[in-house]
Amino acid sequence: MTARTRNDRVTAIIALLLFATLSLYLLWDVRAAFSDFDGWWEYFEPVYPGDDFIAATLDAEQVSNWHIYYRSITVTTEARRMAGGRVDALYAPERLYLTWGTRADDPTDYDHPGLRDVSLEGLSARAVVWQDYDPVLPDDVIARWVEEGRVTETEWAVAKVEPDEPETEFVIHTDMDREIVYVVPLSLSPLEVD
Amino acid sequence: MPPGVVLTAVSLVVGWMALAPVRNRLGAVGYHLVALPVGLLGWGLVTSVSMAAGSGWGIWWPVALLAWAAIVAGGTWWFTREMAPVERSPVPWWSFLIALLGLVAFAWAIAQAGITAYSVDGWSQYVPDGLLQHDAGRTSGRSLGHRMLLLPAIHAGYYAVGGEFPHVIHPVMGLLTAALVWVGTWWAASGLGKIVRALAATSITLLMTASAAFLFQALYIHSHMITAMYLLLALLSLGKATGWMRVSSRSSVREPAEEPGLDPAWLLIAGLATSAIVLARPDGAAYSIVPLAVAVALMLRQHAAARSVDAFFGPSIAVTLLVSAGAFVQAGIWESDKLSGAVFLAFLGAQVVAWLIMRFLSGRSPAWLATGTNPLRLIIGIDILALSLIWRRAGEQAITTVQNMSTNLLSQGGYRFTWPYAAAVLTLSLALRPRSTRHPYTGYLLFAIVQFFAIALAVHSLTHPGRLGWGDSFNRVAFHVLPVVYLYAGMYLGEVLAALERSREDSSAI
Repeated sequence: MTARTRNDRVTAIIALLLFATLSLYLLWDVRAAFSDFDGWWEYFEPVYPGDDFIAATLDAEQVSNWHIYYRSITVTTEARRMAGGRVDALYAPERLYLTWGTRADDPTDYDHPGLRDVSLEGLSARAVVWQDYDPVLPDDVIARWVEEGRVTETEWAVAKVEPDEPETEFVIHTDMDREIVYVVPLSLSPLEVD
Repeated sequence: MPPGVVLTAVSLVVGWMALAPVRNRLGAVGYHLVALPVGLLGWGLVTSVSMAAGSGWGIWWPVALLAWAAIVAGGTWWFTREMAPVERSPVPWWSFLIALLGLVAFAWAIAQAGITAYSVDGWSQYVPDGLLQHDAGRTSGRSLGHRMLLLPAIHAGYYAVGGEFPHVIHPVMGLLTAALVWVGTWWAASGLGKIVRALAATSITLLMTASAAFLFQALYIHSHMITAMYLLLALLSLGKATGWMRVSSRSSVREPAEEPGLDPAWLLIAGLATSAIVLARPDGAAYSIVPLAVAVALMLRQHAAARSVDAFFGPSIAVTLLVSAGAFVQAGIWESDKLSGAVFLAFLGAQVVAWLIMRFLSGRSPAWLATGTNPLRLIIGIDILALSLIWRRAGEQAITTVQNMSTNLLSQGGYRFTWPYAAAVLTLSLALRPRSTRHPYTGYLLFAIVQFFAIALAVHSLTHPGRLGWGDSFNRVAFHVLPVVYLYAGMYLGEVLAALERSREDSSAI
C-alpha cells in the first residue's frame, strides 16, 4: 500500500464517520415529524380534494373576502361540468351586485358570498358575456326546476340547473332573496339573447 | 382512468418517441428517466400553437404532441448521425413495461388518495392559467410575466385529458427528481460493488425525500418541483455528456473515463432541460445561467466540437423560441413588473451571442481555458466582479437580502436541519477529500450550487429583499438547487467509499 493510498484511507475513514454522523443527525430531524408535526411541517397542510376544483376551494385559505373568488370558481366549474368541457358563453348581469344585493356597496361575507367579475371571466376562459338584465328569478320557476329534479345545490351558495341535453351556454341567476346563485342553461333561462 | 394518470402516461410515451433515435446511446435507465421530462416539455409546443392560432386546444392537440416528438427525434438523430454506434445492448422491451407500470401505479395512487397542497398562487393562477390556455388558447401579460408558460401548459394538458384540478403531476415530478438523485449517485459510484452503490444511492435519496421541504414541494401546486427537476436533469445530463459520471476504485478518474469530447445526445437533453428552466418560471431565465455556465466551462475544457456546441445551444434556444412564439404572437412584447417580453427577448439574445462565441471557440479553446478547472475559475472571477457591482448598487437592500436569505435557510424557512447539513457536507467535501478517487464532475456540481446562490443574491438584491418565513420567494426558490446538493453529497460519498475500496484491494494484493 502506497503512502498516498494510506493517506486516502485515513481521510476516507474520517470523512465517512463525519458524513454518517451528519446524516444521522439529519435523519434524527425527521423524528420531529412524529413528536412535533406542526414544527416539522411549517407549510400548508396536505389536503385531499382530488380532481375537484370546487372541493379545493373549501380547503384553501379562508382569507378576508376571498369568498368572491371561491364562489366564482364554483359557478364556472359547474358550468364547465355541465358543458362537458369548454363553456361557449356565460351570460352574467352587468350589475353583478344584483346577484347578492340591490346596491353595489351591499356587504358580502363568507355567510353571504359575492362574485368577482375578473374571476368569472378568467375561470370561464373569457366566455363571460355581460348583459343588462335582472338576474332574479321568480320563486315558482325555481320551484318547478326543483320539482323536475334539475337543481343541485353545491358549495358557496351556488346551485346548478341541469339541462335535458348537454349545453355549452349558461346564464347566471339568483333567487328573490339573492341567497343562491343558479347556473342555468340558456335553453331554460328566461333571458333572451340575440 | 384518472386524468393525472393519462397525462403522465401520454407524456412518457411522447418522450419515448422523441428520444427513440438515441435510446441505446442513453442506455435503458437514462432513456426511461429522461423520457417523461422531455414529454412534459411537449405540452409547451401544444400551447404555443394554440396561442398562435388564437383558439382552444380542440381535438388536434395529439397532433401537436406528435410534432413535438418528431422535432426532438429529428434533432437527436441530426446531432448523433455521424457518431459511431454505441456498444451497448438495446433497451429491453420489458423495461418499457416496468417504467410505464411504475409511473402509472404511482400516479394512480396519488390520484386515488387525492392528496395535494396549494396556495393562492396555485388555485388563482397556475390552475386557471392552464384552463385558459386549454379552453381558449389565451394568455396574458400578467400570466406570462408572473407564471411563464410551461407549468400552465402542463396543466392545460391535464384539462385536455378531461381533468379539473391538476395535482397528480407534481408528485410524479417529485418521484422523478428522487429517481434522478438515486441514479446519479449510482452512476457516479460505478467502480464500487453493486450493494455498496445501491446502499449509497438509497441513503442519499432517502435523506432528501424524508425532509418536510421535499415532501411539501412534491405536493405543492407551484413551479418549484418542476424547476428543481429540470435543473437537476440539466446538470446530470451535462455530467453524462462528459462521460465522467463514474468513479473507479482502480484507476484515476482525473481524466474522462470514456471517450473524449462531449456526447451530443446528452448535451441535447441538457439543452432541452435548460430551456424548460427558462420556461418554468419568470426568474427561470436567470437561473438557467447555472447549467449554461457549466456547459460553457465543459465545452472550453473539452475543446468541444461545433456539433457539441450546437447540440446544447441549438435545442435550448430553439425550444424556448418555439414554445414562447405563440405567446409573442398573441400578447406581443408584454409588459410586466416581473418578467417583461423585452427582458425575455434580451435574455434569448444573450444566449444566442454566447452560442456564437462558443461556436467561434469550438475546437480551439485557448490552452489556459482548456486546463483543469480554469474555465470555472474565470466564471467565478466574473461572478465576483458582477456581484460587487450589484452589491454597490443595491446598497442596504443587499444586506437585508443576505440576512433574510441566511435566516430563512438556517432557522425560519421550514428546512430545519437541511441547509446546515448541506453547508456541513459541502465544507466536509472540501476539507476531507481523498486524492486518488476524486471525481472530475463534483467540482462542476459544487460550482453550480455556488453559481445558483450568486444568481439568487443578484436577483433578490435588485428586486426585493424578501421576508422571514417559509413563504418568502427566495426561501422557496432555494429548494430548486437542493436535489443538486444531494447529488453532490452522493458523488462525494462515492469518492469516499471508492477510496476505502481501493485501499482494501491494495491491502489484499499485498
